[in-house]
Amino acid sequence: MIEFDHISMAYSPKAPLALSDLSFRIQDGEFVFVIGQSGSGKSTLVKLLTCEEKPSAGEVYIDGLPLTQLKRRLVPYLRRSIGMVFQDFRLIPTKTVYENVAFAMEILGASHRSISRQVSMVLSTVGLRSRERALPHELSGGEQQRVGIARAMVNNPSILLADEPTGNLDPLNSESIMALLEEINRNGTTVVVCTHDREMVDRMQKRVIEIADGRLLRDATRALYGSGDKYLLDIEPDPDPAASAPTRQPAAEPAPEDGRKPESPRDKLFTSYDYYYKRKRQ
Amino acid sequence: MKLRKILTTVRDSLLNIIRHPLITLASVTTVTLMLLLMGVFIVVSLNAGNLVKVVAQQPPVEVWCDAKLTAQQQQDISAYLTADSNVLSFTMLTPEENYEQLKASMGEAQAALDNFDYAKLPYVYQVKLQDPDLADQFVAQIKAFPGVTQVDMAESVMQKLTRIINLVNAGTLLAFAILLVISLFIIANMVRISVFSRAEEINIMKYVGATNAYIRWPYILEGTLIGTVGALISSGLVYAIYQWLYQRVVGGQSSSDLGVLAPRNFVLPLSNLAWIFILVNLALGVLIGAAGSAMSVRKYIKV
Repeated sequence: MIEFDHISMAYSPKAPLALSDLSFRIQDGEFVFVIGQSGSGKSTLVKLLTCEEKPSAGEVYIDGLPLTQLKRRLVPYLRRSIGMVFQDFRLIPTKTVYENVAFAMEILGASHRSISRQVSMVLSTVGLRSRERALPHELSGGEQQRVGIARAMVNNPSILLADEPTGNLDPLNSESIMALLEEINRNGTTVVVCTHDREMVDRMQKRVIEIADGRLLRDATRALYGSGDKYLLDIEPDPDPAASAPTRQPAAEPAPEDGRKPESPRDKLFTSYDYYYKRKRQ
Repeated sequence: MKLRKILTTVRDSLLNIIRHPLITLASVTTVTLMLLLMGVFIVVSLNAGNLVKVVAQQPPVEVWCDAKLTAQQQQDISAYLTADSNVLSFTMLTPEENYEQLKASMGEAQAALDNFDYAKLPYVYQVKLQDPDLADQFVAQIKAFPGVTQVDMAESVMQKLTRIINLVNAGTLLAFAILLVISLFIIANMVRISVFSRAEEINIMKYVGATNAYIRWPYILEGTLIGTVGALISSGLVYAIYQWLYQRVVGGQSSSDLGVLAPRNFVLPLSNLAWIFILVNLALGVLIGAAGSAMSVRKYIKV
């Protein structure tokens, strides 16, 4: 679960507030659009979630963990539980499709076998198995973004954070990317998409959090883009979005080799910390 | 760190080197040139130090004794000189030997000394000191012995030599420090270019959850490798140059008539220098490479 608890944020003490008293909750397994004009605070929100910035006031929680209290050393472990998708794809130009996805697992110290199995599976999911030897510049924009999504998904994060994922794509490619994100969400991953793609938001009719000038303008389930009540299909926030959200299906990830029960995303995050502290104690 | 992570680190650093051959070449050249300069400096200063040391021992302290020196007194003085750690070596000239020397120095006129009673000549100790700095102390102590009448010392020469030795030492240290800092910064800048060209990659790695250490190590290893290669090349060059020069200066000429000043007396042979020099050079190369890289990558790691 992601929770913003009265978040205010200014980049410097004298700068105007980028976010002002922002509060909302996103339950596990939800699909949420965060919309707003450029400069409204969407990117700041993403930066707070990835611990790139710290709020000036308030607290951000991920799975109950207060992020302001997270030590800098532990930030990488948090980021492993969040898959990031960017507008400009951010693929490494000198690495092949396969290597671009695989290196996200390499940094975790995964074995060759599990990397090869998992990367192949994720590339199949995004429909790029046949292009795994291609370099990013040989791919179309839509294909590059699929590689970006594959990289974000390869470590089975509990949250997928997409910052303008269709910003550089034509409508057809945008649609297939959104279909892919929806598919990922159906498998239980929380998906948060920051966008100002009106058409997309209107067609998907998911929960919309609209921010203007750093303030929460509206938070509505099954909403359309654009402000004003007439666009809303359902003004009342869902009392329990988790109940209506699909549950995460562990089948999406391969069973661990030693036959242990697959970890829940939350367990995974805490396991990282435990692992870290255990090592510190030794 | 897991073995797998170490292997990935090694692989990544090798790939970095291969993928940016020009930057690698530039870095290796820089390290080589800096270390070559340092190497030449080290060799020259080691030789200068040696030269000063050799020369410092040449004008010995002469301890003049009474002509009627008793066997006991003679024994006491000899025992003291043997025991003093500052005494490098000493020789005792009996009155007879002094007489022979005197005669020899007079050349054709030596016949004048034929009837000279050499018993009137004193016993003389010629003493070579380890550290000319402690000469005053030595003189004071030896003068206190019964039978010692006079101590001759080329005092001003001693003082000058001491000053030169101190100057050489200080100069070596200073130049060494300056060169070290310069090469550190040059390598840091070289690596910075290489890191800068991969800033995007580092940024992505941070978002995917790579730890700082994971990102930093391949660069540090790359710097270390470059430093090592540079150190080996510069060691080889210094070795070759020194050997060539040594052959020319020491081996090429018959320098027996130069006496003390013959180069073979103070130019250090290569075998004395080689290992220490290569080790120091390697250590410096590794230090410069690793520290330079670590300095550069620090800046880009903060996301």
